Amino acid sequence: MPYLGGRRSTIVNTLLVISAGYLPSGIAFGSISTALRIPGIYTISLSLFVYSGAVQSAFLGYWAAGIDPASIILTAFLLNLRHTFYGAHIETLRGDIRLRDIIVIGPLLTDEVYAIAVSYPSLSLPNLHGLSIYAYFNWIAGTAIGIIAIYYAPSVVLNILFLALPALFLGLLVPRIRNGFGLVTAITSGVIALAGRLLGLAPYFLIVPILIGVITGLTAGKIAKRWSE
Amino acid sequence: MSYVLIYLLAALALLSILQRIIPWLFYKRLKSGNSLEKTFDLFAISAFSALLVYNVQSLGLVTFISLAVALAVAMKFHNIGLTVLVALAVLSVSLII
Repeated sequence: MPYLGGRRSTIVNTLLVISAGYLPSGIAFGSISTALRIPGIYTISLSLFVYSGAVQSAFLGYWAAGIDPASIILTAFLLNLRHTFYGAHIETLRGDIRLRDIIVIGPLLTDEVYAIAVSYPSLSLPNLHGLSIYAYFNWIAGTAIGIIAIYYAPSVVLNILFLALPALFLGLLVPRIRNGFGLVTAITSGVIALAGRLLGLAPYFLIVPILIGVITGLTAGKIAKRWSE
Repeated sequence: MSYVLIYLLAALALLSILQRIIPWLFYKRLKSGNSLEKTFDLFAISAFSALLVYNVQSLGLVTFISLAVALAVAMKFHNIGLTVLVALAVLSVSLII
């Protein structure tokens, strides 16, 4: 059977990494969502149909802060804009992708699946299909476990779990900060958001620190580039 | 409220699928588009940072310590599940003490 580049151990490791990343995150999402009193059917539907940790976490954030549909759709659109380039990038690395493959892999294309697909261009298409479906089921299973587990937890656990949401964002944030511009962006956005909270501004203010953070990061990048020239 | 949720869920699901498939279909020969990817990365960083601050329930010392330890774990291991687990463990121990 053609494993990743013919190496069975590599695909076993990849599957373990996917499970290690997706199961705890899915459990955290399922339990936090239920702790925030989002009905289980919506929680599992989010994992089934939206299937984006970033967008689903943002959804929880907006839900907790007081939901604003327009802001969450805009945020979801911008958060998922990076997916725009994933498929195109995979396409440039292999010439054997047909329309049927795009239809199968496309909806299940996450950061991790994309990273594996471009890291192992020798990965066969059937294995790429299998890997993307495996990741999807890990996410669904994690969410379901989280929803069920929360019902058996005492009330003090629910109070503690409210810290899980900021911790989840922390876990999503830190690996993305790979340079000074990312750090400037995170600090700017965080400080403005903190000021907004302390001033008691409305939840829709949330989009302001996000956009100012991006503009500051981009500006810092351009200034650094000019100095280096 | 439930209708709002259903419409929102449908919109997010549609958006999620379209954003993954449509560009792939139309830009099959596009290169990676590295500069825009950087912009989207910055957007994600900015969004998560702001959402982190907005979702801290109480800005007390115990919360700060829990998140500081979780930050150290996140920087060391880059594992979301472990980061959440450590934050909750530190908060639990702090409440017991």
